[in-house]
Amino acid sequence: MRLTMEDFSVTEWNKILHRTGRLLIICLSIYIINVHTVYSDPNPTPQLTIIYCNEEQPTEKSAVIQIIQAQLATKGISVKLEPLPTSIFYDRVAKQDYQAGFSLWYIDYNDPEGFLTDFYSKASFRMSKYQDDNFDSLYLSGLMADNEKEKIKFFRKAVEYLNKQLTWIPLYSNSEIFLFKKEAEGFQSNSFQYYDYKVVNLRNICVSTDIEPQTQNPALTYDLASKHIVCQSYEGLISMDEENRIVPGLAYEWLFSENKDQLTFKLRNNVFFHDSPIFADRKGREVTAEDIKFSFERMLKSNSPYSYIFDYVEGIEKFRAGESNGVSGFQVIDEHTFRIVLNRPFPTMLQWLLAPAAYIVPKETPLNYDFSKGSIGTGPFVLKSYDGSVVKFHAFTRYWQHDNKGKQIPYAKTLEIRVMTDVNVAWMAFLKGELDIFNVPLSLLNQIFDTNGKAKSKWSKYGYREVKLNNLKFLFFSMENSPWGKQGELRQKINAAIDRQSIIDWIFKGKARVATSIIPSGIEGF
Amino acid sequence: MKYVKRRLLFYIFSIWAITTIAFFCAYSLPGDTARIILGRQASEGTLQAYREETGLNLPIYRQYGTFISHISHFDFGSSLSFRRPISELIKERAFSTFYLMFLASINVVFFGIAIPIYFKWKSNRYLNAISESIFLLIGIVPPYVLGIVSFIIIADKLGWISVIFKPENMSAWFLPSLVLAAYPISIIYRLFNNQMNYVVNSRYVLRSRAMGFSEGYILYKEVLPNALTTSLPAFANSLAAFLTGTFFIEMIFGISGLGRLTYEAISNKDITLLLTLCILFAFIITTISALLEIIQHIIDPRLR
Repeated sequence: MRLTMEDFSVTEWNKILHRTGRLLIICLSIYIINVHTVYSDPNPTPQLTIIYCNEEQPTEKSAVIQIIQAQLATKGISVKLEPLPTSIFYDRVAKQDYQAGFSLWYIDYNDPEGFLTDFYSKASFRMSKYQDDNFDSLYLSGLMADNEKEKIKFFRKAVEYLNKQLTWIPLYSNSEIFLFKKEAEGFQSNSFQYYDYKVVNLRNICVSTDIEPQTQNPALTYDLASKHIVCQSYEGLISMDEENRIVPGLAYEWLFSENKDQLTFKLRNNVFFHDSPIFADRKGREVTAEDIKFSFERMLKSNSPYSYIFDYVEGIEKFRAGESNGVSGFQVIDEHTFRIVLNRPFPTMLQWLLAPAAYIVPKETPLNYDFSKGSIGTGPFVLKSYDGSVVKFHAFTRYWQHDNKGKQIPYAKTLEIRVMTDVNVAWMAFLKGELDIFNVPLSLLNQIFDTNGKAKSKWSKYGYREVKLNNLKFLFFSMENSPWGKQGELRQKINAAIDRQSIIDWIFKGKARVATSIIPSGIEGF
Repeated sequence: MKYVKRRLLFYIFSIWAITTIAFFCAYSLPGDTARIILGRQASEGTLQAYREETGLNLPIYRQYGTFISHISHFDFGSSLSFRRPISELIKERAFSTFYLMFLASINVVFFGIAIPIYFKWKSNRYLNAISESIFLLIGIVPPYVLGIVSFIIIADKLGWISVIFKPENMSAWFLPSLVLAAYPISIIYRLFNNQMNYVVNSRYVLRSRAMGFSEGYILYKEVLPNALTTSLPAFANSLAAFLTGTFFIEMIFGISGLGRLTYEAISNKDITLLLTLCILFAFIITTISALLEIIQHIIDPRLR
């Protein structure tokens, strides 16, 4: 039988509409009942929103955080991710306008204190706004301890205290993987990301950096790319070798006074500054104790992010308030002796001097000197020019260091550090032999390593090195504004749900370490 | 003369308007400049000192006032993130960008205008059709994709140029300038070719042919001036397009020019630098369109 339009009279249509309507209502009520029973959990887990900055190491962060999201989802914690540009990320953290964040922490010197400042209630910038009197007293007794042993003891206690409360959820510390030409064997780097090319036995060295350096001025150095460049041309009183030990720099020896409140440095003879037009005869002169005093005061005047390193020097308050022209705690004893007088015992002062901000420049440095035009330090390489894409250096022929056979260091004639923001382009250039050393990014680990985490045989013509970094990637929580910050049990729940080893195996091909404490295992005393 | 004066006033006004809009846009970018530049460990005191040093703590209308008074004296101040005079930064970076634009315009003239003329002169219709379709094909590929693909093929697979951009090598400039010019070439090629076909078939060319003038003479004296009048605005537009095109060309090929500087200024919330670049770009683009108007008036008597 064929249906015609007449068969569907108005009443037929009404019937159909009624039936579908009833069906809809039944479906809807079943759905509501179901949803209601699922969500009427007496202790509901709130939704977790994790913010992270997608400009520093975006590939690593987004990969890791998505795995965490999946892991938490299997345990019934729903996670929302919010990638933010750097500018907004730190702004929101400072305003406590977040629930949880994913971030990294690194320091420039080997001192556990650097990882604890964020929890001290009187510290300048605190991410989680954590406040606890017990921790404060432990932290302060560690900071003010008279000797290293005491200090470590108190810091260990403080760390245990924090780990128990799980204020931050530590995730992992990663490594840097370098591939380099066999001839570039002499390249050195350490867990604090100081790159040293002075004993690379190549005539011309060419390397890359994937971040644009912000400054060539040691006092303002803050980001890794700037540090990479600044530490080629400038040096501090002390420096750090590839095994993270403190070694002599411009000072060949130093001495703490009995009660750790005076630190005296003996400066090397015959250390010269790079030749520069700022000197009367355009030739770099010898470094004296006056230059050290000048450099430190200049750093304090230039709004350096590291100005806190001199917080415990005598006379610093007067200098900051503009009441005196110099810091009374920086004392020039004679031409080659310099003393730092502290207003209380503070053994960590030495480590803090490793920061690039404490590098030495001559006292002739003009107020608005343009550091991209030429370096005026004492380091092995002289910065010649920087045009936004390449930093060109040539060897400093009067550098103070010689090797065992008496040969002048650095071996190379020139050094080029190229800004190559696209890692794939840098990889292409390395494979074609245009770069000598390549810092392998996360996205290329798959190509370098086989499933067992060993370098594939086709890369055997290159040298390979893995440097374990002293950094920490962690989740942190707003202690003031989120249920996750206020309730420890919720954080424990997250902590238990995250499988760190599988993150490391999946994403880092095993080239990272599980972190269970907020201080990474490479740091002195931990 | 009165006309020129009126146009000039209009352009000055538009530069001012662009600057003002840019100022308020840059100001309302999210994030705290002092915090971005000094880093997360900086103390509140350091932040405050930095804000005072750079005038970031003043209310917006006063910042706008100082900004206008400074730029009217061509004093662009110093960059917040680089902490160097902006004029120097721009001087350093502008060369690559302008050189790239210059080479790209040569490419446009060569591929978009000289080649169709040559084919017309030789009356080689097949070659003309083939090259027109090739340029059309290149023109419709998004420039970013074109840049990456051509870079991979030429630098990596064929190895004709080095992966690292070396400005001292003349050959290194060829590929980026060609990629930059690809889209304008495809447009101008078709536009110019069509116009030329139209003019070549017109009656006065027929008359010249009948009078026995050589084909070259006809092309140069009679076809070219008439065909060029339509391509000229397209050419001027392509100059403006180069300026924005250099943004990603510089990123792909690793050239440090104004495009990259702008990108950094945005990511660091460097208001002063961003504004200066904005003014510079606005100035260049308005100058180009002003020059275009004047040139059109000179060569095209119908507009007078």
